[in-house]
Amino acid sequence: MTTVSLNNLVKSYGNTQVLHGINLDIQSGEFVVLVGPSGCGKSTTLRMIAGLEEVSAGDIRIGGDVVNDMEPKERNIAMVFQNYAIYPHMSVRKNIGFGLRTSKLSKEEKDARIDEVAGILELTELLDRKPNQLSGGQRQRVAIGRAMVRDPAAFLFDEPLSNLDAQLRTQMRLEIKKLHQRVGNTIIFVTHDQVEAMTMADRIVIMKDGHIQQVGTPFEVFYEPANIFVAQFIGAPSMNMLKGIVKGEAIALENGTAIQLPTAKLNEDQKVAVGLRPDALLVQEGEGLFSGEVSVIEPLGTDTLAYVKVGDEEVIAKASGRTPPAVGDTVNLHAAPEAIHLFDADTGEAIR
Amino acid sequence: MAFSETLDTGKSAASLRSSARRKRSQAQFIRWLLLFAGGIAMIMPIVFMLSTSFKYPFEVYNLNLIPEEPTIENYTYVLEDGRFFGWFTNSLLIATITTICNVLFDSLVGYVLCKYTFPGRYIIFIAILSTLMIPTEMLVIPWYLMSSTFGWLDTYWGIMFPGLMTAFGTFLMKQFFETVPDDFLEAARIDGLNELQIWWTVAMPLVRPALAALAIFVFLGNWTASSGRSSSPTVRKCTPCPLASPPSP
Ligand SMILES: Nc1ncnc2c1ncn2[C@@H]1O[C@H](COP(=O)(O)OP(=O)(O)OP(=O)(O)O)[C@@H](O)[C@H]1O
Ligand SMILES: [Mg+2]
Repeated sequence: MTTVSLNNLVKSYGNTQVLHGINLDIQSGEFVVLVGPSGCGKSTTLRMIAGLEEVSAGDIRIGGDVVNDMEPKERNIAMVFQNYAIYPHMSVRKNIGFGLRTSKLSKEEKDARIDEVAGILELTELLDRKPNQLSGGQRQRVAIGRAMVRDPAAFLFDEPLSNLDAQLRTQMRLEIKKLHQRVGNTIIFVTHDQVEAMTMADRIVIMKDGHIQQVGTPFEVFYEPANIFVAQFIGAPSMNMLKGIVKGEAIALENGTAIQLPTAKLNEDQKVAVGLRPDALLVQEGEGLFSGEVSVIEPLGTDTLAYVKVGDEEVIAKASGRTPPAVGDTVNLHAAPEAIHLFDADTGEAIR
Repeated sequence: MAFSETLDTGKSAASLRSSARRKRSQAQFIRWLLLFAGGIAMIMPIVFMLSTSFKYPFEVYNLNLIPEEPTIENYTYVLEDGRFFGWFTNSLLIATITTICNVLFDSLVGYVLCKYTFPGRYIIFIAILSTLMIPTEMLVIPWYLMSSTFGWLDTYWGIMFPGLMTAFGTFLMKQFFETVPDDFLEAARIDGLNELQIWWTVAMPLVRPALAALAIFVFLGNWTASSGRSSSPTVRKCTPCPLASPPSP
């Protein structure tokens, strides 16, 4: 059980700085997911924690000790790579046991540990196979087993599920989560898939261009996004973002309509963005926020997604799956006041 | 095959399948034929060598496979002489040691040049490659002078030292190590292996085919081609297998 903390962590390659001062405190036993678009520095952060990349500035503490200048092996962490990094020339048993090569345990103790881990991961039957005789999900489990066998202070995962098909990914997601509940080690998990982040994390760290955008529980990043980027990155389909200007008691939207809102925290003529999740923007009878013409519908079963043209902007709204609107219909769109997010259009920050 | 997945049922599918099979077996036959012809072409020189070894010199330039007057005198001559065993052991020893050294050193250097970044890495690689452009003939005299300065004339060491590492082998191994994913090495690093262990237990087994190819090249090259390096006029006990001249009957 170990805390991991990053203090003003900076990484530069030559003259290009790719991480600009990352601050993060991870509690012992916590499952933290780093998520963000490609190239935002997730892997770099993880590899620095592992000791595979040098720290340019700032420091990394594992269990309270600064580990900046420690070799990877001295940090007592285990890492699972995207392509699993299990060795094709070794049997499953050898691969899982690889993490114990340098340990001082006796042969019997090592075998016992390998068997125990194989049991947990349901690999017992496969111990004598070579990796090329395994399915993708089994290989993934071998890679996890290899990390588990050392009982490390923390697990680092770098997009371990991205090579699996959708169904297997959902299943492995669940297995990793169960595993965490069972063994309780600190886990730092990197992904670019926001669904993975939402479903697995105790806390989510959303990154962009080498900066942290927000750190919070899945609930917080979904319902209280810190800025426009987080609001649009988390949740699918992405949050509708409508530009407007504060005019008196209302916000005049660029699509020509105005919405009444408590504007106490806003200044007259301030540029704002109004965020509405498609899930919370409902096609209903009666006077709503605004109305528009349906241009496309996407039936999803329970619900139907309606692409609605409001002025010259298109928004995505949710309609009933049983009685969907037809293309060309003019529909009214409603949203509960608490489901309306407000952002400063210039800085992108949320206005609360 | 796509054929077996078509929804055609009964006869038509069956006949489609069998005609496909016929076409495939024809193609197979032609392929076998070409391979057979190639095989013959490859084996003929060796068969001729073997048959020539049972001929007297007068018959050597005859193309008949079965000698008119078969003889084993060639063999008895070489074996009775006795020097052959010395030469044979020399060859074996030199080729084996050189091969082992080449496989180890070439792959070690190739690995470092491929998987580590350090200042001057590119320059070192180019420098190693550029030695390939120097013809062996130009090196014979410097090698000889070096050998004599170091007191290595007529020693195994004197013959072997120029060949313990080759630029070609280094290049070959560097290229092969490019195919080993860095993740494999990093995973081992995290598991606590030191750099030499990573090279030996992870990287080397993954380039086994290249190591085998390199070993064969080097072994064959050193079996006969020590001529340049052993050009010492005092060569006696360390002479490798020479290209034997046939005994006169
Ligand atoms: N060795 C390197 N030299 C120079 N720049 C690098 C190097 N490695 C990574 N970068 C840069 O650092 C930035 C962050 O890379 P990183 O691999 O951490 O992204 P990521 O968030 O993991 O993205 P992905 O989801 O695509 O894996 C990228 O802009 C990348 O181009
Ligand atoms: Mg990455």
